[in-house]
Amino acid sequence: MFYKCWIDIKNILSLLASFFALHRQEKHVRQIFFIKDNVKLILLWGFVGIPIVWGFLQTFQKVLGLFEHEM
Amino acid sequence: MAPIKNMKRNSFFHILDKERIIAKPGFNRWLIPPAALCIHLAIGQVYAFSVFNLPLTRIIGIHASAHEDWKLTSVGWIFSIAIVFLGISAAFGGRWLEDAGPRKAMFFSAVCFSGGFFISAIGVWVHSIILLYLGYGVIGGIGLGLGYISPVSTLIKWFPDRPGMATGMAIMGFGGGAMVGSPLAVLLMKYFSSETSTGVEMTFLAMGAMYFCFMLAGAFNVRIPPEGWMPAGYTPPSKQKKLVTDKDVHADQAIKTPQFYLLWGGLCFNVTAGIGVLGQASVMCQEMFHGNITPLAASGFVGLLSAANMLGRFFWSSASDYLGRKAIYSIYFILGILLYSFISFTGWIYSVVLFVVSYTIIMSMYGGGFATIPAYLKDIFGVMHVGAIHGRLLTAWSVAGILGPVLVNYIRQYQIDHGVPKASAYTITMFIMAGLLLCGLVCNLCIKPVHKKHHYMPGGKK
Repeated sequence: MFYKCWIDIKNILSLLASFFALHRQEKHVRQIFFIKDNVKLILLWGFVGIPIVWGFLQTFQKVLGLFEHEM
Repeated sequence: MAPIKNMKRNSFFHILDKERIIAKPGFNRWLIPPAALCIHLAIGQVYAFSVFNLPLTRIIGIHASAHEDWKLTSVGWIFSIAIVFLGISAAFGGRWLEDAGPRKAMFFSAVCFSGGFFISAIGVWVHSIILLYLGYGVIGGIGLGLGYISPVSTLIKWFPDRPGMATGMAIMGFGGGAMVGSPLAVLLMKYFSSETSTGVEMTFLAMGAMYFCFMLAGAFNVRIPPEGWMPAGYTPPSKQKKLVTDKDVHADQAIKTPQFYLLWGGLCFNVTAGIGVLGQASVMCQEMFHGNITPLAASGFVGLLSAANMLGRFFWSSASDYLGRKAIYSIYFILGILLYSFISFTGWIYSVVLFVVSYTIIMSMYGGGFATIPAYLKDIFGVMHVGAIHGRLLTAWSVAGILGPVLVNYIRQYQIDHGVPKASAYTITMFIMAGLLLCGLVCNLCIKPVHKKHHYMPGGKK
């Protein structure tokens, strides 16, 4: 099932690229192909990035408390 | 026999095999650091286990500790057992990991770590502290050890051009695990708590399930490079730095070399100094700057130290790729000696800013010490058994985990008992920590390349 989803994502991106190619928007075509080639990379980094950013924000709030109250 | 063989070949566990995870040509090596981060971010939760301490002492009384409730001293042992088993499993599991491959090790790490949470949840339900020691302490601790070392050698093989940066990125996740695990646990306990429950057992179940999925994502995305693979455009330098070897040393042979024990000593002294003051950071800043820092501000200070610990792991280990491992370790020790001595001075001149800045740099170097050590091992002993050797070296962490807090707490108490004001009770401790770092510096400066008699010869002796 996951594999099928994966293929679907790639097909949708190919369709999008064809759409932009049809309208002669080369820059967008290049961008879509970059995303298509690196979709796994973007997803995986996003997957680990979300909790890291959330954790940082939580810590940042605490650190602000240190400076707000005492400095 | 054939159907049995086929069954075995098609079984679920077959997908964990080392042979199944060899990367195909064109594989993007930048997919490996996030896979490693999935594991380290999850197991780094252990640093945040203290958020469960108070709720675990109120399981029966809910709002306040009842007579039958566990004492804080009993609950404190859960973390200590986990750290001890981290060291033991890393030391003994390293050789198995080299043979089994990273995916199998990561998978078993996920099973053990989340299994530890599930057993602990049962322990809370039936109110048996032994089940918590066994669950989070022993089984979870084994998951911690296997998870900690599993991506290290894989990353070094994928990034021969920048091994420090690659391992720093993964080990940074371990430092950041507490930053995610602590607020997540608080959030879940708040959600699951009721008039009849502190919500700890449900939080354990939820976190066990979440971390299992997160770690599986890492396990199923990890790949190992084919034999002899090199990054495009990279050629190994023809003339290596003096300490960097292109030979390999077998894990069993490595522990017979003086270099192993010098590195062990260096890591142990660096971690003892860091972990000792890390555990006391909140109390120390409130006592040294009495009336100027509230408990809320102190928790902000601890948060800042977590961030410094995390970012230091990436920054210092990446810098070691350019400056060299021995030089960067010398910086940790020399700068550490100066800053530990300076911290007492910040108390005398009552400067909170200088205290915070000094402490932040110290914590960044504490994290940096952990993150740089795999690349240092790779330089000295080669890449073949770096995971196994790293696992054995981590016993230094277990020793430091006991030594550091004991030193700081006992010396502080001794001084207070002998009439020293609380604000000045850390002066001697800081100078002792500086002394420990001086010992570490001596160990580091004594490190020389491994004698060629220890080098591994294929088909020959170890």
